[in-house]
Amino acid sequence: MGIEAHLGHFFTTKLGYLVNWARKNSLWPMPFGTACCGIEFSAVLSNRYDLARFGAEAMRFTPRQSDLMFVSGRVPNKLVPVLLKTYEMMPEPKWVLSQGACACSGGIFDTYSVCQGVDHFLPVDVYVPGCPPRPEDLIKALMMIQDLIKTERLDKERDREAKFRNG
Amino acid sequence: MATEQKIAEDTGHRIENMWLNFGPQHPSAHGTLHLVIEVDGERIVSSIPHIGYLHCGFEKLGEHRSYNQFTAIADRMNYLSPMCNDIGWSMACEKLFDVEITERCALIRMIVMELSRIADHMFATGMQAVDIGAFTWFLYGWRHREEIYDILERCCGQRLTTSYSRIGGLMRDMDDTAVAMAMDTARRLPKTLDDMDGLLKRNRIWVDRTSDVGSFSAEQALNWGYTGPCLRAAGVPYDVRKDDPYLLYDQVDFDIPIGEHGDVFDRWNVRMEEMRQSARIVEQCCQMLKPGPINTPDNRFHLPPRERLYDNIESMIMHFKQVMFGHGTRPPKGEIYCRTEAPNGELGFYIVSDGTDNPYRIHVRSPSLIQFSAIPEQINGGMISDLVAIMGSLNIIAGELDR
Amino acid sequence: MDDVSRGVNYYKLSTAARERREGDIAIQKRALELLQEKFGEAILTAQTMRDDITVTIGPDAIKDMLVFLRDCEELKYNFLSSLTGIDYLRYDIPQEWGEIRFGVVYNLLSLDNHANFAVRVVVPEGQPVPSIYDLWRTADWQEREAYDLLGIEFAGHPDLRQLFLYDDFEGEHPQRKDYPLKGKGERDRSWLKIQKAARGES
Repeated sequence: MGIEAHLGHFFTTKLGYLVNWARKNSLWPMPFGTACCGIEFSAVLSNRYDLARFGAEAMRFTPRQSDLMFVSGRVPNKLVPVLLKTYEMMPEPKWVLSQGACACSGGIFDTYSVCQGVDHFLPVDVYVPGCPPRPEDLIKALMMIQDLIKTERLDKERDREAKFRNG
Repeated sequence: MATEQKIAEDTGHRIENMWLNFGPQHPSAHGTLHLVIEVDGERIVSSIPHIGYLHCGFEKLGEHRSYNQFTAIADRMNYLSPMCNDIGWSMACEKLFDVEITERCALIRMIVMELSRIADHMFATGMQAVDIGAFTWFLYGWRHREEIYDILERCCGQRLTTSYSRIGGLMRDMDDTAVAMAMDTARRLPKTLDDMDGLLKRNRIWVDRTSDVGSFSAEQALNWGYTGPCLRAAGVPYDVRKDDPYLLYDQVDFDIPIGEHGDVFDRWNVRMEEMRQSARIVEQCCQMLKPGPINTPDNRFHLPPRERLYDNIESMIMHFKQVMFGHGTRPPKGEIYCRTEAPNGELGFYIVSDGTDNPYRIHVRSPSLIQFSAIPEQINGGMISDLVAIMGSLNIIAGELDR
Repeated sequence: MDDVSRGVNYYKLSTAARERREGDIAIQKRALELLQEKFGEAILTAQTMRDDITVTIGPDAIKDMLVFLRDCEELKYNFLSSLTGIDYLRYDIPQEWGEIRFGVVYNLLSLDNHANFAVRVVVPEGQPVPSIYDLWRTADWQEREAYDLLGIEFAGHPDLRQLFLYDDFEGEHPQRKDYPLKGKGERDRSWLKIQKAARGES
């Protein structure tokens, strides 16, 4: 569970600052791109809106080597087990960014087969509205995640699954 | 095989083939496809495709929306070439309602459809290259894609999922700067394509990975219902723009590239050449553009201009009649089928209308579904690396596949 | 329901394109004549909309009719563009069709003659439609789609199973007219099931 587990109760602000700095500047994305938002995500990674500037360069499409999951696009119910499995395969610490109206809340697809928001299943850190959101919005969202990481503490484990445990 | 038998005798173990999951989350960014393949070493013995991971109920959703509202939904099907879907839908509705469009509208539609075709082919060939390992190629072409996005943004404010066309017209006119940008992009595209050709066309690795891989003869392609670049690569010269011309395609000069073997290399070449032809069409259309109205004079379909809306009562009534639920424009009762040449193939809309303002049934003939259904035929007996090359060449778009 | 309109942009097309469309319309009329000669009693209705003809028949004659359309030298409808399943529950159907619920429309195309045609099969609920898998392999998945979403059975299809929906989907045939758009709660129940499974409850 990251470096925290080995620290016990020993807490240093400088070490925490260093670890957070390293984490936020090398967020490797896990693009769970399904639909149109996935194409805007490709645009963010390309020449004009280069996301590699923020350290998010290594696009390994494997969850084992990534820390930030971009859920881009609509998620039908059939895909939810796949999404959950992919999320569980990511090692800690991990963050989730829900991109687009469909991932945030179902979007225009209020139908029998679409999940009305991935936050029913995943603890989402940043929601990016839009259909699809512009690449600048994605960059802003990444910067918001970086701000979130800056405020994390080494000694306390982030309890993001509390909402789901308590039903 | 002799070795397997010997091992079975010696150890008492049986050797079985392995079943692998290829997808639904996999690195080739083709969307959510799932192929269960039985492999014997590196060779694929059999395969079972599973789809439906992006099934959102487009067709049923369309039954609860009006004809103009469905434009926004239709856009989300083939998200690589945004304009082709909504213009295809508008044309199907215009056939149903029997509405004539103006010449300027037809030319602008052709310009944006061909620009979308260039964008789609650029992404499709780019993804094909990335799957086989050539990342530079993809980034090289992305520059033109961004320029096309700029033009579309100037037209309607959106880069992707544009919802630009309406029944009988367009949302907004294309201003002179956008036309100049389109002309500029079309002029500079052949030089970029030459550079990109130089990267891959005579590259030993590329040719070896793609020639004679996934060959599909013309008879097979027709039997399986292939259309678009995959059919043309197999040697059949069928293009809806030439066969059953719509808009003003019969008045511009362009050629249809035809392949010979129907393999991955031919499909790639056909797409590259089609981009050049699209650039020709865009140039000619930009030169043919003349000032004029973009909406049909028939008031039933397009919203009145804002200045008139608050001034006189007829405009306000026409506005409400189109926007209010239950008061929309009603077509005659009947069914039509309208086909257009989307970058992927023949995109057809079959609309059943019962005379009310919502369609009774919409069926989308999606080229991706038809092309993906033939995947087992193409990959069985080949290797896993060939599977990747073939998937890239078919340009399967999950939004259109599953609807 | 005959109408005399000529379709979109007819008057703006060039002469060659207009002639091609005229040729298409002529071949469709000829196809209708030939079909009426050969299958006279089997044809329930023949409708024209925007100059495109749709012939409606029962399920018995469909395969013969499609084979005839494909093999006839004058017509050569050798390409199946699209196969659509329709639920006619809330539609005002013509009397000649009888008491039917479902329809399957085959949109054909002749590549050599540049002509379209449409054939519709109408069946009551529960009666299967002969599968045309052996005529055109493209019908494979399109028939599976009609089966999955609407429940139309295709007799003779080698592998008629679900295409888009998943095994746990509790509802049945969601594209039918009596099925609500938002589903009957199966999307909520499936979320709850997955959450419970994640927590380790049954």
